[in-house]
Amino acid sequence: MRLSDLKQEQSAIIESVGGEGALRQHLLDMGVIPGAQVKLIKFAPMGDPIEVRIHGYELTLRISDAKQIEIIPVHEGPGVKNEPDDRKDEAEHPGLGEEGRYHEKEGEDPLPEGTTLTFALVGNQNSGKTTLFNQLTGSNQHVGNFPGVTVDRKDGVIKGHPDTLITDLPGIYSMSPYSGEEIVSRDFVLKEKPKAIINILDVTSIDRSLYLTMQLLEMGLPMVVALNMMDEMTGNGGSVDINRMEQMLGVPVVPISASRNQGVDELVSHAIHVAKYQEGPLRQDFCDSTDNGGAVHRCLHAVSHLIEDHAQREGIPVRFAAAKLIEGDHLILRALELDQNEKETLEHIIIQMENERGLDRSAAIADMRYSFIYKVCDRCITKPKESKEHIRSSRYDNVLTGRYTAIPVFIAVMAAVFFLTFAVIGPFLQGLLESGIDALGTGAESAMTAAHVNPAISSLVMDGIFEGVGSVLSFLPIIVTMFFFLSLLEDSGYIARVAFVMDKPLRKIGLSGRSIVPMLIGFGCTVPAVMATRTLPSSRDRRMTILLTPFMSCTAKLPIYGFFVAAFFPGNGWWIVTALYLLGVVTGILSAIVMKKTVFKGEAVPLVMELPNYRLPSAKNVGHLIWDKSKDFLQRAFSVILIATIVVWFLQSFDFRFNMVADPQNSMLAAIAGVLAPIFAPVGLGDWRIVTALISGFMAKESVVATMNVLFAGGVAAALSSLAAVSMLVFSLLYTPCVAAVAAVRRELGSGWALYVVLCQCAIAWVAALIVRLIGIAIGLG
Amino acid sequence: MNTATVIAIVAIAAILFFAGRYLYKEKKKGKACIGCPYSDQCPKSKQNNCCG
Repeated sequence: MRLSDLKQEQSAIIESVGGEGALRQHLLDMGVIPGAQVKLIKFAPMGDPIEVRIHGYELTLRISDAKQIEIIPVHEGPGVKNEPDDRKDEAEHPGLGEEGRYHEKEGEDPLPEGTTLTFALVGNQNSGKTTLFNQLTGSNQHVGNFPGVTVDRKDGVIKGHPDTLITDLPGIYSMSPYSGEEIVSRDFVLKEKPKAIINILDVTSIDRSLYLTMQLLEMGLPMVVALNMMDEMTGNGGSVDINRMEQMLGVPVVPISASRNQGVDELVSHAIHVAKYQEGPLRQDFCDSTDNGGAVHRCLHAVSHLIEDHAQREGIPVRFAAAKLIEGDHLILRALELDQNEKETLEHIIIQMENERGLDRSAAIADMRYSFIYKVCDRCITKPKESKEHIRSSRYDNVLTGRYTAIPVFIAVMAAVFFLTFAVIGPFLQGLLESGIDALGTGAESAMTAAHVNPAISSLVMDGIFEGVGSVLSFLPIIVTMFFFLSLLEDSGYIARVAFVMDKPLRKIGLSGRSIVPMLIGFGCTVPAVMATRTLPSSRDRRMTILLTPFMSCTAKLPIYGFFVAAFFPGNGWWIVTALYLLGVVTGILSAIVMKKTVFKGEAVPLVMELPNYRLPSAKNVGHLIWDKSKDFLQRAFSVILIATIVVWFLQSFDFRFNMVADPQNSMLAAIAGVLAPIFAPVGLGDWRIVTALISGFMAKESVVATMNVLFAGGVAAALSSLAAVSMLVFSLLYTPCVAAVAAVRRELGSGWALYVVLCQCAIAWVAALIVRLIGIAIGLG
Repeated sequence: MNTATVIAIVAIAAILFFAGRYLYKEKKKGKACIGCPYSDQCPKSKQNNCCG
């Protein structure tokens, strides 16, 4: 029987894991190993993918991948033992990583004074690394409640310890990287060799978390284990025998709650101690000569001896290299430069182990690690009862990922976000801010008139600064409101569910459910959306998603929509803006279909993703986000946009002889932009002022409105027809993203693709605007 | 040129000075796209480009 044949709420024991390559290794690393108990929680709305519970956490898998997993159905049983067997013999406190009587002065070899202690913060995705990083460094890095929020390393100094440098790394499940951002973490640990590792574990799914811990221990670097979310564990009746776990792992173990800042000081003192004295793990060997006949144990030790000289020469920890070679890691094999005879010997040793153990190489190593993890958990962990958070999440999921309710709920949620942003909260706050800016402008104009300020200077202040920057500023509330709702989706854990629910529909256009996460982020800003694609494990999916994210209308375009709606369609803002967003999505879908049939043929990669429990978004996080976005926007308005506005004002106020012109038609800007105007004439935008505004939008989208306010002094409604306004809205929605987004695309995909995005999106925007214009003329609007 | 005009010019010059200084400082920090809140992550990312 296969996992795909399991019925809802039915449990089974995994018999074998089929498939091959990186996906199979990833599944093994996630704990999908022979002997593990698995329970099918539910099917996604369209019957695919499925959600299973394994090792105490929820995992999503496609039906096609579940078909590769052989199972034996079982009745619900205890699975892993809940109560430790030998808790009677109380473990002594090993005192690892501590000062005082625990620290033996004899043989100590501390790093020289003044050495910067570098730390790598390593852990599974969504285990709380960035929350801990923020606590340690006092930073305000963005945190979220879905796997893969951190896609790049971030450095900081631990508060009160100026000679330290800690690096927050993207989450990984094992040292066999599956997606792009995981390579960042592995390379950092392997190549940059931090002085110590802080390994953060989500204690509520400790079985899976310890898998990475064991691989990190094999590296031999000084390390501290931080058991995060201990408050949740103890709050639900669970506990950890810290002393015994410290004994078994051979490194300091510190219980913490990063979000509540509990245990963090103790963690810091242990981390600094092990780093300063370079106290490595006491244990790196987890195989047992009595486990399943000892085949894996003999194999690992034989390979260790075989490659010892090569590993030492290359600076790769021997035990780590041996395990990776057995798993078939080609990067390590290449780095070690074994000769042909050694390669053949290696292969013979592994084949012998496979024959004796009855499992293939990858499964045998994963099984060896999980066997040790089961021992640690049996002896150290009192499993909690089902947590309140999990019970609550399951209840919410009955509706939010329910077979018949999931997609309607998703549509309703997005509609509510747009309605509240554009029709309720945003306009109300915008009105208040506009009143303030108008009052300030009127006051400034009256004061300048009364004081007989030079007309050119007065024009610069009123027509340049107030019209340009002031008009952009008034859109701050709408932008912040949009980010507020997106952060609620991210922090609550709903965004991971959207990936689960939307996987099958997205596969029809050649993408995986995970692609929806960058796209939703793209409604905020394209730059982080492009960076978020690093969590996608296949280059094909990543490229395709990057090329599609600019079609998701970012918040910087909102001022353009607001400006034209107010001028041409007052009272209809909410549905026009929603229609524009939908047009962006539809264009993205059409582009994806074309790409799938041309440049990106093939299928999307499997969806193997953890579903976190829902959490109440933290007011502090949301507050920080709103503050950050407001600050970013104000800085941009008073720097880039201000200078752009003044440059535009100058160019439209003077001719080439630097004489102030009465009619901007005679200005140097009209002459320059007029060259491009004929290209836009077919779409009804052949006005040099429109062309100028669109060009300024390449620098920052908000500049379009600032520029138009400066150039259309008499009001844009008098200069353009309603149909031209619609064309302008469509063109603005679809044309090239701003320079920052293009730079992000260039960084991820290279210059060729960045140029493709600019040219292709301009072409698509031009064609779409032309179609809209022709339809408008056909129905008598033109 | 009256006093009010001079004051207005000084005020505009001050605003422009601070805007220019902000852009200069951002550039000195190595930010590729000034005004982009994510630009501080760009230089490091170049080293870790894995998509090629």
